Amino acid sequence: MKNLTKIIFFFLFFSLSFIKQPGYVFAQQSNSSNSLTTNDVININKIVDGVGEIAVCQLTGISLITKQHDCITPKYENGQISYVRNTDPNNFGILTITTNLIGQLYSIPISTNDSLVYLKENFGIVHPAYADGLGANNIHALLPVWLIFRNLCLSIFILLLTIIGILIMFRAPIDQRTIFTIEGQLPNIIIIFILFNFSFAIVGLMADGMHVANNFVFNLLDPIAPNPALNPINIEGNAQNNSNVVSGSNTDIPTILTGQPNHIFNYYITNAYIGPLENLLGLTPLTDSPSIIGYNLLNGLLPGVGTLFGTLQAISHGLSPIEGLFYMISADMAAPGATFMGDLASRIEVGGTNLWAPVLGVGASTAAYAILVPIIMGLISLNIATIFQVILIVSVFIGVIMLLIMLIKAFMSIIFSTVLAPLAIVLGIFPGSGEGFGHWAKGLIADFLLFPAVLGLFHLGYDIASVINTDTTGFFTPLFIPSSLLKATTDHGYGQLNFAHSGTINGLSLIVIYFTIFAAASLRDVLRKSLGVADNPLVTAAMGIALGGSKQVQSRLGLKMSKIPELKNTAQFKSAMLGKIGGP
Amino acid sequence: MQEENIIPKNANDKEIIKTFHQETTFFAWDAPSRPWKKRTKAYYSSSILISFFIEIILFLFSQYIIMMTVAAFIFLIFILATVEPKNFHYRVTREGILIEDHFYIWEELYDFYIQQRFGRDVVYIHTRSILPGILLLVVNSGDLENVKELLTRHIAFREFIKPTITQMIGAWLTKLFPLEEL
Repeated sequence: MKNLTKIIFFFLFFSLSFIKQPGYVFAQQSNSSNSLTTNDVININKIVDGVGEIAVCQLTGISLITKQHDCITPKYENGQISYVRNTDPNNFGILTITTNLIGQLYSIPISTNDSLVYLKENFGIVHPAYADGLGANNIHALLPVWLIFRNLCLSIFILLLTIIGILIMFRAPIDQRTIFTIEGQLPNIIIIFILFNFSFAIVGLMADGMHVANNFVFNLLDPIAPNPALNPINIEGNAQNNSNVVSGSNTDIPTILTGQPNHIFNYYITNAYIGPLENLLGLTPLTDSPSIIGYNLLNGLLPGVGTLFGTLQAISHGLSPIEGLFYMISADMAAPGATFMGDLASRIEVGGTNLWAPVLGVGASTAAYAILVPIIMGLISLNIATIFQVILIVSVFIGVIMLLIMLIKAFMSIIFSTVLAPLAIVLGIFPGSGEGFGHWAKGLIADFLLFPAVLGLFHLGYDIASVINTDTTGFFTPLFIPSSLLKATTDHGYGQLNFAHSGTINGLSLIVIYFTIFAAASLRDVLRKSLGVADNPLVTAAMGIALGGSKQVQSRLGLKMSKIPELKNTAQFKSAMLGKIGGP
Repeated sequence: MQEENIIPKNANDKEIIKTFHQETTFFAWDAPSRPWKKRTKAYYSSSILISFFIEIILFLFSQYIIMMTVAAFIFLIFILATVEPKNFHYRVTREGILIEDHFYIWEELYDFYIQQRFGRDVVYIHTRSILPGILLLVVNSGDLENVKELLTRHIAFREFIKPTITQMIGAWLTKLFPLEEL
């Protein structure tokens, strides 16, 4: 996971750090043949912008270059590559795909309906003939898998019970412990037998309960900040306006039970990112009513960062670090700080020589920030917009990936717990095994509770952020949070950072959103701990291998490239690997 | 340390070993291998009636494999009810517990609790490993305190064991369908 994060970070950092370099223009043409010409620089800039464009498109699905912000994507057809315009940003980009995946995890392919349909199809002495297996097209694919394990358990039951019965009947020398266990556990065995036969229906009931809980949570929290686009009850999977939901009058039970909020996280998170990206770059908002979260995600943070630099500026002008710290808390100093950053950014974007960086750097070097400031200033001199973009994109992206991994674990845990339910419940026959129906059911409840809990947390964060933003009388301010972070101003303009002014954006909402993403990503552990359930070892192992596959393979083969310098040669390494695994 | 001195020097001598075992046995008794009671005709007829009813329902839903399982259950229940258990020899020693021909050392055992079944005192001992999981010692009336005192020297005694969900449902079902009174 750590390495994955590093790879993602470096990939994003290096690719996105070239997004916008409009200010880096050579005004003079050198006479020396070894020097760069203006045309060279323009060409380099084109390449850099192209790389940045591709990177941003791949990540977000939004183009920074094209007018409609449509990404140009390669299309492979008849062995040839052509380039087409992708007009639907909601179906393109890693972040969008990730959030869509999160939404799709809410469609757990289990329902009480499956069990009922299965019984209905099998009812009666004469059955209609079907060409496809169970004959019920609306049964989810998991039921046949579950049936295999159920029949396996039943077959074992039949064999064991019959053999033991015969052995007792003929007073054969049978291990008395077996009779102890069976005789002592007989009432339990009967209950276990009933429970595992109904285990699929029990999981279906839980899944339906989860859908009800999802809708309950949504309808409970939605009136605070109604957003029809987040309607989870639309069974077609389209986030269309549903006035019934917004008004809270949708009580249609079948609709609620079959609700599939596939798209909801796409709207929560993708809009939360896409909005600010457009805003940051001064683009026209993609949608007519982009998410309030989206507008705040970046714009709330930037003035806060401006405050920090404002403080550094104060220090550079001869103030002590302690005084600087007070300035950071002070509203008076924070606002000029934010404005200053806007000016600084504008200077960089216009393309003139950046005079501010050395001034600040020299000043700060005399203060306690001697190490920190040159580093920050060095970053500023690259491209301040890029730095902030990278930091925010990466942090949001990591949070979303963490959330996705957590929900995949829960989802897979539910799937495995369902199909292996007969085996898991039968283990309860052995006293002290720690397994059995109770353990199985608690694990499932924890995983099913997770989905409405994440949804609720996201919606709550959205509500709080919305309330903060619409509050004109002032909101409770936590101690020591600079006022500029709470109330700052933004400006739009292509290629400019939005530190300057128009409208009020509340940075506190940004904190709420960040908290929401990362808190949601840790919910599963909290829920399982509070219910006293250990993680499913199969799922944990599978996820571990999936996320660290190469390491696992290396360690299993007893190889580590760094420790075998002589194997760096590909041919040598290949032959060594084949030797280890016994290949040709 | 004193106990170590009684270990015979010639370990191959069967007589000495026998004496050694006798010296280290704290308590021994004979009792049925499992609690058992003779069932009435009502028990059998009720069981057959209920199982027949279940089988019909299962047949209507084409659950043939479950029908077979129910039949196997009824078969075993009848066998356990009709075949009287043979007597076992139980022995509590310094090293552990002997149940007929299986010896469990104290390190293999975890804790124990006592319950009544069919009017007899039964000591349930949890094992550390999943299999067998639990041992049953059927104790004759009057010997319970003695056995309990010996066991508490080596493993913990649990006054109360919280029944699991399946045990609770099982108890409820037994109460709901008292086969001998139907």
